[in-house]
Amino acid sequence: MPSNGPTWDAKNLTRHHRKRVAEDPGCFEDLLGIVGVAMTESQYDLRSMAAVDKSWAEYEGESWEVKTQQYAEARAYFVDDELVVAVTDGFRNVFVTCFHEHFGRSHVAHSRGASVGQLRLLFRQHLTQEEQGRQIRKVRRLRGFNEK
Amino acid sequence: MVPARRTLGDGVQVEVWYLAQHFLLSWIDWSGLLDRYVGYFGQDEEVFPRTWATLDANCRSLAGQLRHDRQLGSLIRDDWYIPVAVNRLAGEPEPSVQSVYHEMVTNHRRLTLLGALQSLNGDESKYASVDMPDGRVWLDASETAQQLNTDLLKGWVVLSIHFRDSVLWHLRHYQRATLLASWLAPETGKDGANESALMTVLRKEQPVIPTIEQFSNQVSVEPRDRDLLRRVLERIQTAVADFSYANFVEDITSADFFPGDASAVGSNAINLIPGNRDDDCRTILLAVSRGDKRAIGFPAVMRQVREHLIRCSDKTRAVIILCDHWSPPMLDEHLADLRAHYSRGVRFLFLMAGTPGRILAPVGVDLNLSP
Repeated sequence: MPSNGPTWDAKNLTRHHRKRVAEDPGCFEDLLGIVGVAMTESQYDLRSMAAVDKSWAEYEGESWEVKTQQYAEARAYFVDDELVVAVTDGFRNVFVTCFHEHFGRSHVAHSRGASVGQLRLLFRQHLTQEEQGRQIRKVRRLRGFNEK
Repeated sequence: MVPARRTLGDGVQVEVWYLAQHFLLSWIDWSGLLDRYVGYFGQDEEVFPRTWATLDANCRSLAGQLRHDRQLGSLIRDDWYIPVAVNRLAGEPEPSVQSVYHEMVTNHRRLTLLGALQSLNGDESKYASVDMPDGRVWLDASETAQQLNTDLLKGWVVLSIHFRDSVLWHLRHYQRATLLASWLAPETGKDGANESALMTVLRKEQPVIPTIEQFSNQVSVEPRDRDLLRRVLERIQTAVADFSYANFVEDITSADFFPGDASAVGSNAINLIPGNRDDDCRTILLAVSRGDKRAIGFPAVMRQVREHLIRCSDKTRAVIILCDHWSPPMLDEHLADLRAHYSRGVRFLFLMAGTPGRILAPVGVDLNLSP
């Protein structure tokens, strides 16, 4: 990974920031402790970088894209203790997206005071099931999975 | 809270009950896979390292102790139940293919675990108590898992076909990855009473291939057209039986051939491919192919079928396609169109010439199933 970490393409940052704010209002705001206003692009940018810097897990894989019905190119995934997932290109130069994983449920339903250990175990099981269901393929677990 | 250094690293703690649940689910995943591997590949259990048998026995013993921990059962029940309750309060997000897949797999694992815990010892009555009527393990957790299962099945039927197909695609991969063959799956009660939603939806997606006679009953047409369909099917089978498929194809594709009541196709009130493309649209289309390379090869004929279905989308209801060879990829490029027409009510019957070349038999094509 470059010493200065991955960066966002400006257009992609805007697009994904808007997507996060529109599709899951309050989610990132809750993570950032923001009340009453929507998260800014800058805050989203910083939070995605933090997810990489403080990640406990790193893995690579090709994810299945429902819209295109094909697998994306290999990407790198970074997961932090709040299960914010930052996805970069395979070279870890550019952010592809950043989201908060709550396993298909609402952010409120997911946020129930689970310990860091519980969230880590939950995420690892989730990745295993994703792999078994071919939602992601060619997975390389690099950190955080009891790899030898 | 306890540390779990080996599993989670230094300085990370996890709830004891969650660790116990994680252990139990991981054990049943692993142990179940070993059993299915042995059964599926016809192997002996000794194919595995001896330490595995010891490990499994130790895990089984620990599981046997944990299942009598009522408090653990309650904590696990709360873990399974609360997200659903909160979801209802907070308003569920739109389900995604991924989330439905994960819910089905997760609840399948839970039910499998509960079934395994229940069967650890043969006689449960000695464990019966006020808290565990009839000796059932973790009654509340079991009821929660069963309710989730019921909810999953109820929600499944209202999903669109396309959505279900997408989920099934992932479920089939999970089924394959875990060797969850239907005959090796965890035992269920009578009539599949305890069957997980995952196994239910996979089981219901088994192909159904109608006979030639049943096909005519499936097509939604007027009685007069149904009689016509039956006559055409009977005539082409008879013509092929009398003259062979090769001769049948040669005759009806010749310039001398005109469909009629006494002809090899039984009627002039149908559309025929190869044939006159300017014909009026009819309820029944008969498409005849031979080989795969020429103008009457299967690929060329199928393209004409698709063109016809676009032109006659309001009229054609039954499509009979004859061929003399088959492999599953033959339909790949046509499947999307065929399934779209199928969803509109068009019914397809693929008949292949057998051995000797005087027999026609249905080919296994079920457009109602996901790929």
